[in-house]
Amino acid sequence: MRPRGLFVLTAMLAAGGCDYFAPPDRLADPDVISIAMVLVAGESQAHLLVGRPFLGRFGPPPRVTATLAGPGWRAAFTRETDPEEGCGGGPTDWPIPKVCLNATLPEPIREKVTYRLEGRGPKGSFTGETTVPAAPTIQAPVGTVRLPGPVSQIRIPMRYHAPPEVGTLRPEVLQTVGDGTGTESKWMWVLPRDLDPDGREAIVGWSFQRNFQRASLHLLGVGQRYTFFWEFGRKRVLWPKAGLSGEGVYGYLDGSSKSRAIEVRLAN
Amino acid sequence: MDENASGSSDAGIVATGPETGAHRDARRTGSDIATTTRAGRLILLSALIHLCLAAQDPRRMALQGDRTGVEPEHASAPAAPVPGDAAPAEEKASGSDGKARYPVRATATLTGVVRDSTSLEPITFAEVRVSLSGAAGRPVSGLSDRFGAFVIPTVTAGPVRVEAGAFGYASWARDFDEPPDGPIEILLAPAPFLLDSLGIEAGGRTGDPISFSRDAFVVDPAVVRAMPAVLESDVLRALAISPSASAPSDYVAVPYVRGGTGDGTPIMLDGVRLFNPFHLGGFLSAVNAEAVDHVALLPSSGAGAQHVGSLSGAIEVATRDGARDRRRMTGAVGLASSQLTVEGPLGSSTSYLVDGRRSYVDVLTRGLAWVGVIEDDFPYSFADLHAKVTGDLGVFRRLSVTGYVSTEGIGYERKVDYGRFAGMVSSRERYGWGNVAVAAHYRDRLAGGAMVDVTAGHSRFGNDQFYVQNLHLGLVDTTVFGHGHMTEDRVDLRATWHLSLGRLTAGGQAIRFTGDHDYLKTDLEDILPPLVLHDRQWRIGAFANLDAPLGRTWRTRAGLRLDRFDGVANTLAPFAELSYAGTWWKARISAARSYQSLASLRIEEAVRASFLAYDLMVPVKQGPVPHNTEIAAGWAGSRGAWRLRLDGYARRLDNLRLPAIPQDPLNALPLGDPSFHFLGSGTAAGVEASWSWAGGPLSTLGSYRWGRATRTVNETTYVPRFHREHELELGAGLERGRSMWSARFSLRSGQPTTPVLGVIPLGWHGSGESDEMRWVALLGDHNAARLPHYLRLDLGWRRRHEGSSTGKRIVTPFVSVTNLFSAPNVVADDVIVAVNDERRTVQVESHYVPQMPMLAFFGVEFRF
Repeated sequence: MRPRGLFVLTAMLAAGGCDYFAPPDRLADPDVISIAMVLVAGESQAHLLVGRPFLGRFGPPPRVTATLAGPGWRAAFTRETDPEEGCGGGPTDWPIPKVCLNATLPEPIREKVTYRLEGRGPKGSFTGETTVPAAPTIQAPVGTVRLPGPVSQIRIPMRYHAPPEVGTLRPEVLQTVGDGTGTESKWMWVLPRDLDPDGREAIVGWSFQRNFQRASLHLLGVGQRYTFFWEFGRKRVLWPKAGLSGEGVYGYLDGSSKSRAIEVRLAN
Repeated sequence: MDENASGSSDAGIVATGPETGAHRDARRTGSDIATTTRAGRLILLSALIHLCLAAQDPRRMALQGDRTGVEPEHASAPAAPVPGDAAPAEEKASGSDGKARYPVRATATLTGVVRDSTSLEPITFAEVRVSLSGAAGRPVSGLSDRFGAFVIPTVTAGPVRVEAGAFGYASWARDFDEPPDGPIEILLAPAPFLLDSLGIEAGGRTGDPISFSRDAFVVDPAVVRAMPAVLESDVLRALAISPSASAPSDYVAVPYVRGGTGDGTPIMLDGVRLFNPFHLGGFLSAVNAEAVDHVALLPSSGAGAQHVGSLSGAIEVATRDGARDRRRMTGAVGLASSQLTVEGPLGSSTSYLVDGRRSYVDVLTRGLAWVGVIEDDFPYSFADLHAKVTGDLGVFRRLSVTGYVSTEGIGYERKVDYGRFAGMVSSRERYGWGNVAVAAHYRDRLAGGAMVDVTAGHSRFGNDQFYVQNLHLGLVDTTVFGHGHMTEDRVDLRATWHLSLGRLTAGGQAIRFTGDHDYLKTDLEDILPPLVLHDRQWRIGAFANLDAPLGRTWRTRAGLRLDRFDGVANTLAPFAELSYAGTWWKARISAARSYQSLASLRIEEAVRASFLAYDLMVPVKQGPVPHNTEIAAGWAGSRGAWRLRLDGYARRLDNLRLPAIPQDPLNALPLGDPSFHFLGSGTAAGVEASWSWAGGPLSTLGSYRWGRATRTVNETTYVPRFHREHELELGAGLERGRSMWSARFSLRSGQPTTPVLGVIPLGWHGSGESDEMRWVALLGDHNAARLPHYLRLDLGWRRRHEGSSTGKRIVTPFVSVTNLFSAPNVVADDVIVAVNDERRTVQVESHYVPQMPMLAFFGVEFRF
């Protein structure tokens, strides 16, 4: 091979090598939006969390208009709040451009009632529909449970029932502590985190805190769509069309209901 | 491919110049009919049908050939009748009562073998023509088969001229007063000039892949060397330039055929099946190009591959006989491995050929680790060894034995001192796999004129893993253990009669397959699930086919194959073909059905299957048997230096055993448990074009394929991942002095992929708090999207240096660059979601899984 040929070949190799390490084209559509919405029975507010997962963290939040339709009424999501401060429960700390839209409803969300979401996102209109599940029940104990005295760990054996449309059954405890200066309430870390919706009995527990005054325990039943996503966390799954349809709109629209609460107090 | 290419068979697509098929050359006579009727008593239904067809017009005369082939330049070697071999006597036109029925001219059958005049190796696909001396009639012609044998049955008595030619050889001609009674041996001298071919190798056989056989796409080592090397010259990788073949990815050397998968296209080495004959996960085929005479890709399971009995044709590797003139040595030193081939005579009529290859990654890295350049060595190696001994016991009678061993593996031996609490822990780990195959082939020509081939073979692919520790204590603790093998034992018998009616082939085979896989305690969780499978199955097959002319321009082939899959089912697989030959072109239509009872464990829809070509197979133990039904139409023609072949096909694959569509193709295992496979089906259809052109020092070969393929399982139909709708392949070779430049260009549409529609970061829903961050990547319908198109240009250069002292030493350095310009070809796409639980961040990145980047390879070949 002549030197000229070698030079040309070397130049081509070098040029090719630079090309190879160039970043490939973007695969994902930056206009795709993710939606998370769980209607909570008994609440008169609806919260819609919308994000743009394929845009850089500091990109502009998505522009979305939406309304929620209930039995005989329609409410627009007109108010934006900072999603970092919560968006009616649901996903927190999304490190993507996001917005929390809020709607004030003319009546509280009801169990077993179907609600319809309509909206328009960056890629066009979308719709969604969900029926709020019936509430789970705590069959025993009922009323108030009295603890014999200060303990390191509070453990409450219970019998419960969840309707079949409930996929996630989550015990929640709001504990109140206080002294002569006042009281303070705090949501506790409860174990187990989730109960078996098909089960009947369980023991839930949480840490006993100094200055314990009382605690309120209930079960939160969330629908199957949220459950699907939760169970497949950190995986790739076939898009289940979880109550949403529309180009470039993915996520879930679901409902939740709370059981009647039982109260936990110290025995006198 | 036909083992017995012969007179009146493939001449329509051979060699040079305008030509017609020999379909029109062969003519039936009354004597032929009588002869055939006697032979036909033993033949199945298809033969009888042909007899009936032929009997409708039995008075046609022989030897009215219309070929206008190139005149021979000189007689390069003598041809002599060889005594001792059975030669059919001149046939008289008589019926069973001995009385003449039709006034026909006497004919003879010309038989012989074509060999290289130097090495005496048989020459495959040589064209032999016979014409009446001084007469303006049409010559009859035939092609030599893979053992160099030819039979031309309808040679008219009287002075004749016999001509022979083959790619890479000087033409040969000789006049005879009468057609020789016995077989002749034609010795062709290697021609040091370019013959209508893709590339040039002085003294070698270089051919146009689409010219040799109507059934196959044929490449030989010279064609392979005329393409840029990918790591090394690779005969199986070279097949991907055929329009029927599609490379599933850059990392897999063995192509898929017409919408089928690898399990439906067995790779046969001298008549015995090789399982997984590749190294480096499939990147490099485990067949040494230097030992190969040619490799034929049979895209159809009909006429050409009836003897195989598979779903998607076959790849047949025919190894060379060793040289019989003197000892020769060839070899190559490359980046990954070195190889050496030694061949030579053993006495006057026997030859041997031994070739071996060994990689040296392990040796190299061990050395680097020893001198401290790298920390740890990489104890990976592969090697293969092939040997063949051939005894020529007559002109036709021959016996050859082929042995083949390939090994590959990785092994660690460690001693780690964990201190006073745990002490010294020693362990040994080894994961190895490889092939062993033995094939013996015997050929003879019986007194009745039938050419008989008998092949017996044994092939075994083994796959073992173990991990033991505490070796130093003498208390060996085996923590990982797995082993498995696939074994095939087979006997094939085939007889071919070259009748004036046509060529009649009948045969039988017995095949025993054993699949024994025990991977319950392995740590191969990234490849296959824990499983234990022990299965064995016999396949007893019988087949027959008749290739016969129907008048001057029409021709038909038809056949039937009967199989007994022990304990499962008996099947009947027919095929039929009708062809027409014009002055410079020919066309054909065909239909075929084929069965196969081996099912694959591969999950082709797993992205990892694009990186790992290995397969494990098990017999189907319960019916229905998977089968293929296909129709095809083809056209081939040549004008000047151009040759063009067009094919269209439509296939349906039924009763396949398919895995369920994986939920997540990116993370699915490439091999699955067959007990979780379902009954599925598939379709494939396409149009293929291949062409070649040669002019002066430049020769080109190209192909284009448009196709569709689907699979259906559990009522879901999808396009398989390996399928590309469009594929354009171009190859070119340019000779400049002693240098040869080669280029290969590929343009293909993108493979199907399952799109990632969105990523849903998921948090805790409820009143309580949780630090847990989850995400879900949402996939669209399976393979609903397409990856970007594929574009690749490879360049190669090689320069031949001849030793000045002896003139027999040839050293050829070669350099090749694959994927010049580094086109960012991809094999899959992925969305990576990185979760940092501590900082509570989720990072979403989309990226492609790349195909082969730009790589440079170099090495040196030598011949002594």
